[in-house]
Amino acid sequence: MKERALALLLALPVLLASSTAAADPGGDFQPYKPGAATEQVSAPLHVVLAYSLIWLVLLGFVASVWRRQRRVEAEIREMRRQLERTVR
Amino acid sequence: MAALFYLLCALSAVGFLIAPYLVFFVAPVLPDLGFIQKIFFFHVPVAWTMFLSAFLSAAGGVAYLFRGRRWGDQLGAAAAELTVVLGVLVLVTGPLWARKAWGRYWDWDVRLTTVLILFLIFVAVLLARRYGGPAARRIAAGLALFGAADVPLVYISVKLWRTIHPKTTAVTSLHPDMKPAFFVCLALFTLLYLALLWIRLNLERARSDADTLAVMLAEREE
Repeated sequence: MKERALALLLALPVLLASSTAAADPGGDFQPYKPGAATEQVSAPLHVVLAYSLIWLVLLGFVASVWRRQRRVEAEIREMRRQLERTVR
Repeated sequence: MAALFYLLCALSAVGFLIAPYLVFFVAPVLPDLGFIQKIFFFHVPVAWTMFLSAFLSAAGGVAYLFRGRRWGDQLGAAAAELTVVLGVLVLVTGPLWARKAWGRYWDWDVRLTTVLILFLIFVAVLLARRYGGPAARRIAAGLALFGAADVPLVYISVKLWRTIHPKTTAVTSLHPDMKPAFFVCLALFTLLYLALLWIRLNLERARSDADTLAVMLAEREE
């Protein structure tokens, strides 16, 4: 499950790029239409999305490192206990 | 050394209070750039830290490949993972800006494509480390060198080829009232990057200790 989520996150930029390429393969001339495409997008929404995403991804990264660190430290404690037992 | 880490965290925290204020309330919204230009204040510093991370990963790779330094392998692994994380952010915040500015999320423009290649090379570094078997560390170090070689190409791509991506002069020609916000964000993301690298390096050190203990345990059991 965790690996699938990670794979999805890593694939996101590639999927985004390839889906847009498929939608517009030729790059043909498009006559200018006032009020088309660029006007339909909410700039504040995109800015908030970008800012939130930066925070979410970085917090997710910190949480992931913290979780992995705890797991490795637990493994180290267990191995030290086993080593002490073998010494006795 | 721990004091330095806490100082980095404190400076980053202060920066995250100041930066949004400067970006949203001090930096002007120019009519030809629009409100969407605010993404620039985060997108460019994140891209800069991605490049820094790629170079540090390659530097670690050099130290490990040619000098056999263990810290080189640890730095290479930590910085490679951060390069991928920052790459995700660059490749998502950029298209969010592009949708408004260009009317489309993506274009196979040379700048965008070279950044995508850089991202994919570092994904390959992580995959090699995870599934590459006994030679994984050396393969990953070599790949990181290859990835870092792409960074100058990304930077000069907008000068060498015709591209729709803003030129590197976008930074030097910034409106004077935008410069404080931009440079505070740049410093902030650099500090934040160093703090993140620190915690990720601690994980690599702990893994290295665990490997040493596992070998000791195996020898004792024999």
